[in-house]
Amino acid sequence: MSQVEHKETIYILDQITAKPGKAKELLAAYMEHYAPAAKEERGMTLVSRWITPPMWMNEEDDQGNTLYITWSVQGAPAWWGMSHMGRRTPKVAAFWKSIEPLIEKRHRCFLSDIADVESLCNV
Amino acid sequence: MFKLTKLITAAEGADRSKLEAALNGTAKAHGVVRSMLNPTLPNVYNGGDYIWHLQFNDEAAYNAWKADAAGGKAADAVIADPKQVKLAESAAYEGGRSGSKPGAPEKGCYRTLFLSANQAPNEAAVEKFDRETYMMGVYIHTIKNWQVSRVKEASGSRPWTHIWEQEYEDLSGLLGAYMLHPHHWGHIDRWYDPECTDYMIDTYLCHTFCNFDGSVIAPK
Repeated sequence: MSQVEHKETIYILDQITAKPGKAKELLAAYMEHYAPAAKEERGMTLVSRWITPPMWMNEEDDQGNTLYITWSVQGAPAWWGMSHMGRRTPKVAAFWKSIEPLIEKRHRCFLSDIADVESLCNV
Repeated sequence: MFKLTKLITAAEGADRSKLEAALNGTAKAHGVVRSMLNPTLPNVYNGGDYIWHLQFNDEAAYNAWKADAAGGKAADAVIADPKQVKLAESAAYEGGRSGSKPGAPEKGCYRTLFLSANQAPNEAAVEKFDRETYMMGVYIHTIKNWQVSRVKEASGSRPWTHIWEQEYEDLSGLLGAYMLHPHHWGHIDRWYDPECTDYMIDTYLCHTFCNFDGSVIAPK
């Protein structure tokens, strides 16, 4: 095995589409009930909070906003630490359950800079 | 090839030599074409004290062994004895899709994962999971032999649905590249992660490994 430094930044992207008119409430719940423990207990760094379309869609609309909330950790071992902590913490599962009434759909994926692909795979 | 794998946790104070001899004795009964009983290595997770693995030419041979007083029935009696065995996780399965790399070692580290896809939404998701699990062996260079199988008979802590077996040159191939490669954490782990919407695998897993001398995955 080659010497692995784990210097690559790994991004965790939550893509969450809110029900019409619910995006503000959804974001507030995320920032109040999910983000603090993610930062303090799981070593996640909040990178960005993006929204499309860039306006608050109201409940008379037939579609809601989509939020793109991005976190980062440094290297694969930190990713595992972050992930295992989430699995061991009931309040994490409870949070995702609690926001179900506010969301249309969601997706979580893991990303890196393309420049880091080679070193991430060289393990 | 039809396979039976049991993860055995010895009872406290059990005579381990006697336990090993009893299990190895049942592996000598008619129908067993390949067997392995090895102690697990440190830091397994729900992995038991032993990995016991038997192979048969087909399911009929396995069923005949199960009904044999010197085979499966004797093994059942050993495992049911609380003075010898505390817990046994068990899976019987037709060997599923497998892969092997040139120069795969005859000795090294064998690892198996017992998992239960008991929250799968449909068969299509399970088939996708099967394909992706197979591909781990393609992408991760330290995996030398590998096989993902669907379980036909299960008992123990969960209704095990899959057995994911790999062989490495040594333990570092499992603890290093297998855990660190992005195919693992960045792709396939979403099936195991309750925070991901593809989540479908019970978080209670048996992750266990031992030394092997003679592959139990490569074609015989």
